[in-house]
Amino acid sequence: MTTINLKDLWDTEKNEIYQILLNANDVEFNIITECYRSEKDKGTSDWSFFVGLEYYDTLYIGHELFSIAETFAVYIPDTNMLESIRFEITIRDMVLFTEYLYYLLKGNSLDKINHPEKQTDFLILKQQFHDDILNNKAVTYNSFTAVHGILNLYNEWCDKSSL
Amino acid sequence: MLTIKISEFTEYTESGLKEYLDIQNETDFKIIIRKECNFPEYPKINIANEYHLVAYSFSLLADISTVFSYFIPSPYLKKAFFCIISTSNMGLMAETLFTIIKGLYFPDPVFFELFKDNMNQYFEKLKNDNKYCRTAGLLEIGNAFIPEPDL
Repeated sequence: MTTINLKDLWDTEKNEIYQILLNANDVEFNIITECYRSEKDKGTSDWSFFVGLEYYDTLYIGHELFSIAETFAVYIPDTNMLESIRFEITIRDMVLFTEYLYYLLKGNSLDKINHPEKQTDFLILKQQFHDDILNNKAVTYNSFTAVHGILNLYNEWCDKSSL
Repeated sequence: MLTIKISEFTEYTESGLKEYLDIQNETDFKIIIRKECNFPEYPKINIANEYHLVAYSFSLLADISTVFSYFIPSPYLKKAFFCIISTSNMGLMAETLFTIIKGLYFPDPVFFELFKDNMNQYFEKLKNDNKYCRTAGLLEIGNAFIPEPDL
């Protein structure tokens, strides 16, 4: 299984991402999302803010990865830990995987100068996904089911934050 | 961190488990429950049951822990379930582990039925009390695999 830390790839161009995936010569990937919190945020309101933001963004990243993966698993660390949510996926199409990773990376990064259009699309689709979640009545195994563990924590966080 | 594969402790009594935990002198644990079923090799109902039982087992562990992290495996793979917990109360830890072992692995079906009844009551209570389930990721997959009734 090849580990991909999203934090290390924010500035990576699409062809480089493709090369990284090809060189991995693997179909199983461990995708580590970014933990927005840091040690200095402990005990401050920033900690709670970052927790919520992390769940919000990771939900969408999980949803997108689920849509291209043959198998999809999630590891959800305790909210009080300085650890990232990670996804374990099986995928064979590296061209498709590159497209999705690039989209997720550019969309979630603050690189508004070089890729404003990518981020706008990303934010619109992310919002759309969150709106869909609210109306979801899933009865089959789909992306909503797959990321439900994160959704549950996000909803709990919203309740506690009175959002 | 001490790794405990639940299926390897089926011969232990509750006091035996407590003794074992005391000797290890650990507060961080990785608890592994092996996965027996994957879809579509096994019918949907088996997948649903397995995810529900593990969701309940891990919830019991979450309830006695100060830290709780968990892994939600793909229903299409036989990759094991695991959770990572922290607790310093070895008495409670032994009691909880023994409850899970009895429910999942004891040959007498009476224990399994009791475990399932307790599970249903546990989730029902969470729902009635409007409380969040700590293992919602597992529970939801279990729910998604409940077969639709024949009309």
